[in-house]
Amino acid sequence: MPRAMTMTEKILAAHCGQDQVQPGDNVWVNVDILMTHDVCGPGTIGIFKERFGKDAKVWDPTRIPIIPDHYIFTADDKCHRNIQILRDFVTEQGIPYYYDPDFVNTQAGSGMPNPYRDPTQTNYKGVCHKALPEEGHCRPGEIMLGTDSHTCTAGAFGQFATGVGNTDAAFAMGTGKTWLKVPPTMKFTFKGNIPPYLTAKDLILAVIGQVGFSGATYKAMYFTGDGVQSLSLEDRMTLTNMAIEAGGKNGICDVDEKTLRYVEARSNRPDWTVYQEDVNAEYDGEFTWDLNDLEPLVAKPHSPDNTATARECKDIKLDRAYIGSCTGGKITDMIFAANILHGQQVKIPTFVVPGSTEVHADMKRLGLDGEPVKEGQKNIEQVLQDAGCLLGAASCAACLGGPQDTFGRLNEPINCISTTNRNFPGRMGHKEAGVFLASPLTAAASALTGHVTDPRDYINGPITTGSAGIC
Amino acid sequence: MQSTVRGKAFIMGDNIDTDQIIPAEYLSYNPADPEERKYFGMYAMAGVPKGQLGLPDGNTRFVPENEFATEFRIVIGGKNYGCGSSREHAPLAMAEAGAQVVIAEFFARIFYRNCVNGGYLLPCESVERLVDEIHTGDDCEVNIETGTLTNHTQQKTYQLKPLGDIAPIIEAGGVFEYAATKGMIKD
Repeated sequence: MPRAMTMTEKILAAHCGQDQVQPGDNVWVNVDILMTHDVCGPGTIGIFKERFGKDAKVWDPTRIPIIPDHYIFTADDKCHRNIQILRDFVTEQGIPYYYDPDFVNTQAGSGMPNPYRDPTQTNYKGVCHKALPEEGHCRPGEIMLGTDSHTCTAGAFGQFATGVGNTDAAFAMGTGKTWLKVPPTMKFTFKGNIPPYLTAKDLILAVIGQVGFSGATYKAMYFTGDGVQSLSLEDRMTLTNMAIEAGGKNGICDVDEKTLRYVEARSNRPDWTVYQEDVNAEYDGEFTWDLNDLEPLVAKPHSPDNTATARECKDIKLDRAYIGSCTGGKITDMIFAANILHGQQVKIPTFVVPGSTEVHADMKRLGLDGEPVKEGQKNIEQVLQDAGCLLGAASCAACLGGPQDTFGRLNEPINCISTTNRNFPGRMGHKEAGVFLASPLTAAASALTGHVTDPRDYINGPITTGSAGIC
Repeated sequence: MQSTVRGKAFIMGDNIDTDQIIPAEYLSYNPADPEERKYFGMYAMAGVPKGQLGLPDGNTRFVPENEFATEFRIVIGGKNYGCGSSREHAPLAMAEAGAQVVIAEFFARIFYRNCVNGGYLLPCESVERLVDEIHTGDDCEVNIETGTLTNHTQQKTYQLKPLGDIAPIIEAGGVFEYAATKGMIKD
């Protein structure tokens, strides 16, 4: 009898040429995709050249997407210089999947770049974890490495994806290989249908609140059940994105019709392998929730596991709201927020940052129901601007603080409710600022009151997202 | 690899994340440039909040203002050291400042992996909680062969966990050196 395996184990076994693996095995695997960006790319390229030689060639230029996204809209010359390092490297190596912020002048002293005028007319994409699936780099059954801890986002597509440092990335860049310890899998089951007042952010905060933010350290986090199936692919990306906030090595979801529809429409390679969880697979902990019992949650400062219900926090006064990032800046997140905010005015400064230029284009193209806007209707961007939101250009922006002149950065010790994924001290800028992590529904409802607010106070019926974010 | 490291200890708390070790605003420096790389030493631990820096007093700078080097060789934290961002700049910054060993009850996995694969720091897991016992500035010595940490100031010795599966990579000096010994890449 072969050993029953999890999806994660099956993918790792297939990539190291073995019939089976088990937790604790150290294996050398073949990597399918290696992603890097403007923050870790220059360091990775430096190690690659130091170790393999200045004329060395990458193992496969078609498998190394390079996606500048972090420090784009800043006057910092070093950030512009880093983009030039990426430009030079992709030219030298013939890397086809490079998404250039073509509006950035990398000459010293060029100042703050003027953003793209039209999000459909630039090669620039924005946040790597959002751009990867959009541009066809995510497929079931593959192994993806990225020089970013939120690379685990791609597990929503039924693949193994994990974050690595510059040295690991440089090694994979030259060899196409990495060593991995096979992780034990924790199983998280959600039953029922997603109600209109919850998003995947509430589900993952429930998980992190339950296991603690180191509770899945070294482990795979497998999200399953009809509750997960009821989520859009974009919302599943929020689940897997925050696996790292529980210390997880990777997060992974089952492959279903929604996954295949997305990947078939987007993938830039024709083939992939769908792995399924074996019925008798072994788990290092199993947890189950019924979605009908879950309430909108927030994670209070300064840890993603410091969770409470939004209602319990209703007396907490806020100074700012922030809607953006790889976990909260997708088009479905924007539709969720717009449905709360339409026809009303925010009470606190509310910063909105699309996760990608595609999201930004869709904010202009789509209406509140997620379908192409009809004559006389307002698009998502107009709804948000009419509500008083400040709209930035697609980027990681203030999610990780960044340079002082970053849009939305917390430069003062203020309280901010944010759809981002991490609220450690100083994460969004100031060390004494308090970041409350929440869903786009909760962040939008809170923007209307200036206090942490349960979105059920503003939701009268289902919010549909139509075909948004799929094809 | 040296078998012993002796020097002053720098004590930190639980859940020290990589944004605290090296805040995002300094990541625009290119670690591949030797002149810029020094600045990671200057800003190591720049994001740790007041009261948490160098326990128990909590107000000891890891690196003096406007300098590049630390007097602390051995960094000791509690649980979940190095959580958060995958930035390799974190162990690099600590090593660039002059730290050689980091000890914790357990590590976040990407930080641990970066320490080992990049050959920056020796990461050791302690058997017991040390951060409530050892004080910043104590004269400490790590002995890799015996797997112990000795606090010469307080004259106490503590057990460290075996390095386990990754010992060959640590002994080689990093993943490139290890792969070269296995013939996976050219030396």
